[in-house]
Amino acid sequence: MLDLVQNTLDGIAAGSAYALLAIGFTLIFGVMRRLNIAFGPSIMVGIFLGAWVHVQWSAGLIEAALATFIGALLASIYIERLSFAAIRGDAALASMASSFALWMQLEQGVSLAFPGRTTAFPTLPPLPDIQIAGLFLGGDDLLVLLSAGLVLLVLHRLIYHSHFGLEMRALADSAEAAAVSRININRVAFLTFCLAALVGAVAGLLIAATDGQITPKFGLWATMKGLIAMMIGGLGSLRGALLGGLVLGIVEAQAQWYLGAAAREIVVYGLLFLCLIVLPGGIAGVRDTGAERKL
Amino acid sequence: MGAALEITDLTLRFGGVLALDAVDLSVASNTVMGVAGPIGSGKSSLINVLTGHYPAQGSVCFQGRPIAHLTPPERARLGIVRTFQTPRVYRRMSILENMRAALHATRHLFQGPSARRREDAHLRDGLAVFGLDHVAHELPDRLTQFELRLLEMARAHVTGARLLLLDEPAAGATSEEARQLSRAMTEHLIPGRTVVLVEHRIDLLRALCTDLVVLQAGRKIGFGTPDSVLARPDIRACLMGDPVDA
Repeated sequence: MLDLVQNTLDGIAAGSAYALLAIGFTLIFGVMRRLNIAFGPSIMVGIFLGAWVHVQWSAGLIEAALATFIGALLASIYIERLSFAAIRGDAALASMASSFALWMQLEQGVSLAFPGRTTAFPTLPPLPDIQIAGLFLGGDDLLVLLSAGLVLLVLHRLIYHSHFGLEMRALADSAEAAAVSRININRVAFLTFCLAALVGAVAGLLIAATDGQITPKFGLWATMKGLIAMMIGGLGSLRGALLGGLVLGIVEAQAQWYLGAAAREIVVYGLLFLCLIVLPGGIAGVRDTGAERKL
Repeated sequence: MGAALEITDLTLRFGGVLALDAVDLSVASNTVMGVAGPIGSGKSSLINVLTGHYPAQGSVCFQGRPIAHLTPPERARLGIVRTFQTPRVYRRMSILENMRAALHATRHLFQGPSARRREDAHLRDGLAVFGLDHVAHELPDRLTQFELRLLEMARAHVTGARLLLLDEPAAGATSEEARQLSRAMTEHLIPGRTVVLVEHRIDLLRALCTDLVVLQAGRKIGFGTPDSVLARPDIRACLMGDPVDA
């Protein structure tokens, strides 16, 4: 029983980072109704810029974090201009396919620039581990949880209490209605892309700093985790993305503990398969009957 | 009174079909221009050209300024606001939030509590004009098609629209509802605004319009005061085919 609770705790820490990735995907998908599969790779570019600053000038975590945000933002803007702004709104497949091309381009570019298998990334500041009633929460995990929580709070405030958030939700709700209002759709879409990049960069930063090293495959990894979490939670729903991320983290942790690392991925894809069949709208899609909280 | 809207030689083609055929129209400031005509005569096309959704040939000036090159949101920010026969509302946002999204009153990212309260009061006043105040916090799902059109008009009202383009606001309304709508428009919506009213109901056109233009196959076939235009036998014959007639 203690194991189960401990695994859940570990899973929530990992899942909070997945949730941020899923939220990044959801912001873009919700507002544009188009999938940016180069989202993970754009974060990868960010953390490599952070790692470069670290390796080149032995910069600390703060400088690396700033570089990560800038890198992810620039890569995202590049993707937005080429695959989304340049392709008309009704050609969702063309956007997805061209974002795949940019994914390959970014991954190859980074692989050429950083030929080693892994690159060092500054680690998180040491925080004391916490032990209560036989349960253990590592200092790193605590920091990840707190940072993700903070990002979620800021995001919530922005989306539900700011004018930009209102415009974003309006566009996600009905592009047709927004098109005849004063809302500048292109501007909102662009800013949403930037916001998603920053949220994703926080997730990338937390994961890279926890591991202390990164590889160009991070892009693939982040896209897969974010997509799976988003699909489990429910496409286009922010609450679903949060839930999906946490569920993914917890299921991974339990599967790893009880069935071993090899079975972990099988269980995760099994869960996704089950979700798509039993709850095609995702966890939040079914319970959420269209209340205003659906981004 | 100067012209708020000056349309010259407006032509819109869909392939080989002429939706608007060299239409000239001048709408004086703070008057209501009724637009009547059989289905497919170009009434809605005219609105779509004015909002910038259909690219047409010819010139359109709003308050003396050419606007043909402006995008739809740019025109919306000038105060050109339209409603739809099939209303376009945000279905997952409350009715009050629908109003707020249209208002977009401030450039600030966040709003202080007192500014928020003032804005809410303003929005609720707008809803009250159209009898929707009591459902402010509900989703638009519970409204009828006619009420959704009222919501669109309430939205236009609070944005301080200067040119209102109304596309059959009374379609599907009962006579009582149409009377209420007519009253709300006369007392609140129309004063201080220039309105283009596309409508099939002759009683409403007579009651609300300063001038009336009749379109047929994209061409202007009649223009003048509603009484003078509707007195012409050829116009009456043209409009007879409409579902609702006087």
